[in-house]
Amino acid sequence: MKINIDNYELFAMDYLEGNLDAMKEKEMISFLVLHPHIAEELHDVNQVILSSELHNKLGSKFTNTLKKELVIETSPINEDNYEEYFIAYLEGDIKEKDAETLSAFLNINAHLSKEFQKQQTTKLKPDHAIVFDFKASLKKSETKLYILWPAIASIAAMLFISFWVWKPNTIQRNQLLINPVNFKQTASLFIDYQQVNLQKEMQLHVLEYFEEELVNTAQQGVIKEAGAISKISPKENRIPIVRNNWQNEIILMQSMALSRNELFSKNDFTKTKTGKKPSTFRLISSLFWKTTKGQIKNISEEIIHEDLKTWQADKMEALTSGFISVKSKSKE
Amino acid sequence: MKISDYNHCVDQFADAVYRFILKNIKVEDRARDVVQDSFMKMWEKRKEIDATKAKSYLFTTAYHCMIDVIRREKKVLYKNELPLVENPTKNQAHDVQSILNLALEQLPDIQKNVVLLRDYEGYSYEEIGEICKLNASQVKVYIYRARASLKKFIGNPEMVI
Repeated sequence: MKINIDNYELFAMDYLEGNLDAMKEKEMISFLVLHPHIAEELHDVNQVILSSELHNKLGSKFTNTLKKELVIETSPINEDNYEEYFIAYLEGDIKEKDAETLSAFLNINAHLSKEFQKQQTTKLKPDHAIVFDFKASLKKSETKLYILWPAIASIAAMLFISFWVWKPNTIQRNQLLINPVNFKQTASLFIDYQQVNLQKEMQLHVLEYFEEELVNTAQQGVIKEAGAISKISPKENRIPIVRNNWQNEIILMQSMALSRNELFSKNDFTKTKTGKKPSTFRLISSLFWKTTKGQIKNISEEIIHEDLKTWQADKMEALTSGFISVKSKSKE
Repeated sequence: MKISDYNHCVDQFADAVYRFILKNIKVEDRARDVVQDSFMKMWEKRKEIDATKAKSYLFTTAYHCMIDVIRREKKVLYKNELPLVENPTKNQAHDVQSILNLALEQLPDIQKNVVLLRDYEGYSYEEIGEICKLNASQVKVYIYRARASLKKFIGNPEMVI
């Protein structure tokens, strides 16, 4: 066991009584050289004269360290608090006035200037040779998203298109028999007046296009002038469309849409066939139609006209909710 | 806090945090783990962190991660079993800083940490208080005690330098 500040007392008595072996005794002497206040303590408490070996080793330098020089007070700095002022000076906690007093104190007590300097050396400096070599693993790439963005956009676009083309028919309703465009001759539009809640999923993403279209159209002064915008703008009044099959919607939209001439005829609806302002639903359909017309070029006009005959257009005005879909004609 | 701010923190503070932690934990791998954990936590909270306070957040997080590690390890290794540091005056060719580093090991953990944060990073008493969950007065007292102990340890300047 090495002699240290915590265990020296275990060896102190043996040392004073000469019971330590030569190696331990040397160690004890070295320890006391390093800790003069303990040597002093042993001296005082035991009232014994230090061994000649220790005395020789310590020499006059050691005995001088045992002596205490008088500390002359320079108020408020005195022998009880000067160490705090030394530290405060190092820490930058000292006021200008106190710094001047400290300077005066050190001039008067020159023997403390070494201690003052020693205190000023107790500032640690970081070892800049120690570095963290794994910074790269911590960093996050800023460019990754930008690089991947075209790929992400492409995948999203493909999924979006696939959704429209291959969307499974998950709702089983008699009146929603969906036929491919090839068999459109047997299909007609059907409106189901069943009240439905506008669930989130029913808020068709098409509405986003609708809103955009609405703004564009309004900017052209078309619908706004007709005063219709106030009727179709509240979301809660919009008519959801059951999207069991994208063809259904497109047929519907195309069928209900105002013609291009009507839409851009400054909307003097008195000049239209009915002579009335178009229904809200028809305006919405017109907007949808405009946004999707590129996809329905293959649908024949004939079918549209046929479907129109089956509709009761006057009921459209009252329609605030429900399903609009395609009903296939029975074989009768 | 943006990604660029986060990466800036890595560049600016990773070394400093690592040095601070290594001074306490001693084992490079564990110090590295603490640094990585700290940055990971900062990344997760980046949206809540003001970029101007990122350094403080990082050191606070690292400090508490380190305390957790030390507590876990103390269950295994008690302080009395730590290797005894040789007194500096017995060693050859010590400069003041290397002696201070030895002296630092003799300080209680809390004194060691506050004085490291003070000297290495130049934090104010208040900032150190935030990191170590102390008030400024406590920090000041610990730093003063640490300075006094360091001065005692380095002994007579002529013998050291």
